[in-house]
Amino acid sequence: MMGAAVSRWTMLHFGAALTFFLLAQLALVVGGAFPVISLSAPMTLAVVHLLTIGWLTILMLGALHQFIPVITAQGRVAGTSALVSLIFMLVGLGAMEAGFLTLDGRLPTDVLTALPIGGTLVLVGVAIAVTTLSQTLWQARPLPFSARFVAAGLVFLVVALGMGIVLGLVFSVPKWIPWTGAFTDGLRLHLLAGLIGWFTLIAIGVSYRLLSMFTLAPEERGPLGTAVFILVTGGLAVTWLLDVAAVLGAPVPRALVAVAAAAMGLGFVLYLVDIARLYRARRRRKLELNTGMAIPALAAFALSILLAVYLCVQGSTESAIGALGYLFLFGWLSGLGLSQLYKVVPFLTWLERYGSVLGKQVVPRVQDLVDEHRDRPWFILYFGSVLAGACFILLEWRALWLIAGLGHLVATLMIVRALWLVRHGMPRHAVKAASPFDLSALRHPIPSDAIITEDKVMATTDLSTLDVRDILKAGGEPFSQIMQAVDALTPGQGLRLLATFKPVPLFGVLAQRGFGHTEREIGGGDWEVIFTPGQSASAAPVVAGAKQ
Amino acid sequence: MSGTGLHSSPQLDLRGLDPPEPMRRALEAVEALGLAEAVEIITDREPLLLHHELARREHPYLCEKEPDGFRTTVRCRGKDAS
Repeated sequence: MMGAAVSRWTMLHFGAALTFFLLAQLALVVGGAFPVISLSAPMTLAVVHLLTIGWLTILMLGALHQFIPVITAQGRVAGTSALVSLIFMLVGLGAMEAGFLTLDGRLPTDVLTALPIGGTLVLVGVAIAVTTLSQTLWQARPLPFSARFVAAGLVFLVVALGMGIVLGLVFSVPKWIPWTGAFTDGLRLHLLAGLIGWFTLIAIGVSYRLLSMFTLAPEERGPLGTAVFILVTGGLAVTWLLDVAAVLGAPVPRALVAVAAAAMGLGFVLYLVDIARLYRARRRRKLELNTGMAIPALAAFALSILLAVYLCVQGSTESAIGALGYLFLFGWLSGLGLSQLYKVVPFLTWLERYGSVLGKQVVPRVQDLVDEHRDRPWFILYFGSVLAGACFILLEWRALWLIAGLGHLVATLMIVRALWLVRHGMPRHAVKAASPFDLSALRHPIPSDAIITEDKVMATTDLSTLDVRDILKAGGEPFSQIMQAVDALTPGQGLRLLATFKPVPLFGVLAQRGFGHTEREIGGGDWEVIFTPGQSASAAPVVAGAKQ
Repeated sequence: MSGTGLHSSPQLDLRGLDPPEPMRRALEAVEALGLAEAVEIITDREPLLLHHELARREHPYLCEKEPDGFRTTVRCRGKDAS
């Protein structure tokens, strides 16, 4: 096993996905789609598929190309197949959008078959990605906890796309498949497999892993996690299959469907409870922007569940279903996606850029690639606008909804700009980080009394001297001797080291053992470094050195 | 394997640090060790990205699961050649 590399095409997926996300929002705000017009209007379908295929599916597949090799501890990341898959999806989505515009009468009817053809091209692209990803998952059996949700999600992705192609055929060439219930039964099965099966299962699996990783919370979820998995995937699969049987004319008792759907709903509630438990058990107390801004996304999921239950009990209206879909797609799925991209993009960029020089030269921190203070208001604007927008749709205040739509469009644009700067801008502390003093100060600021001034050097009368210049000139390796000398120091004693170069990596190692340092060039290219015991020992993680 | 033999492997406990800090510190230590015998790196999770980078740099390593974390033992590359 070789460990896991950075997936080469993941960033391209993210770039394409974010472009579609902006396009979809622009189309909503400029008009011509829900909530301005009906939910089943072709323009609404055009926008919804920009969101679901262009944004969410490409986002999630791009993420899974990186995520699955890492969570399953299988080294290989997808190569060219990920790129081929993306190209098929892009071309297919383009054809599908042309098909929707045809349905709308905006394009001549001779491009009518563009819809099923486009859908098939998307399916080919997805099938390529799913094949690669499933192979990796298959090799990693038994699957780790979060990967189980991902595996189930991939199954539903294929099911949702298959259903979508059938629907596309019904719409564009009705004489082939005369299915009168397509708009109701067909759509419901398509949405159930796509929105809940594919997106939500992936969101649950990936969030379990990312949130525990970045809040330093336990990844093992115990019996509650197992219950979530069984209820959500089992409940969903049974609900979907019973619904198919009913649509095909089998006598399925409604109560049975209700029980299966309720089990799924209970699974979602337990997931939210478990995530709340995960946040409480975290060891990293201060939340970063990505883990902090996952909370409104999770809240949007909770609100969606409440609204869905209410609609089941009270009966639904088109505006209520619209508000639910809006909260679910923009608040929960897109909100979670945007907030996690804010960490994943800098993290992968950092690995890609600095992975091969780590330990050899000073590099900026991951968090120096972003500016959380600058970007926090845009996330707040995003979630605030989505919540307000959902309320306006529910109340049918369409003029006000446009303002909300504009709000999350601008917020997304600014977040995309921040992600663009991660890739193409300068790290904030690049210049500062180039100083060797910052090597250890980057994470654990050295207390001021650990930074040695000339006075303190003078005050540290007790210095043990080690000259390793001869060893270095002879091509030898003095590290063991240096560590022995450090171990041999009496409490309070410092070490004066003479070397033929500035031993920058040593600064970090000794800083972790509580030593501050000062260094100066002493001529002939030689350096004198004085390590003195400072206060940073307790703040730094323990380095149990050699047996003393 | 040569070396002084008096100094056993230093151990770097990187548990409780948020990613990618464990990877940065581990590689810093590995590079600083030069041709010392080995360094043991303790992490909360299986450090796959670190392993990839160690393999790329041709540092032999061995990873074992421990009750509360993972222990990656890294030896230095090119030791036999020196």
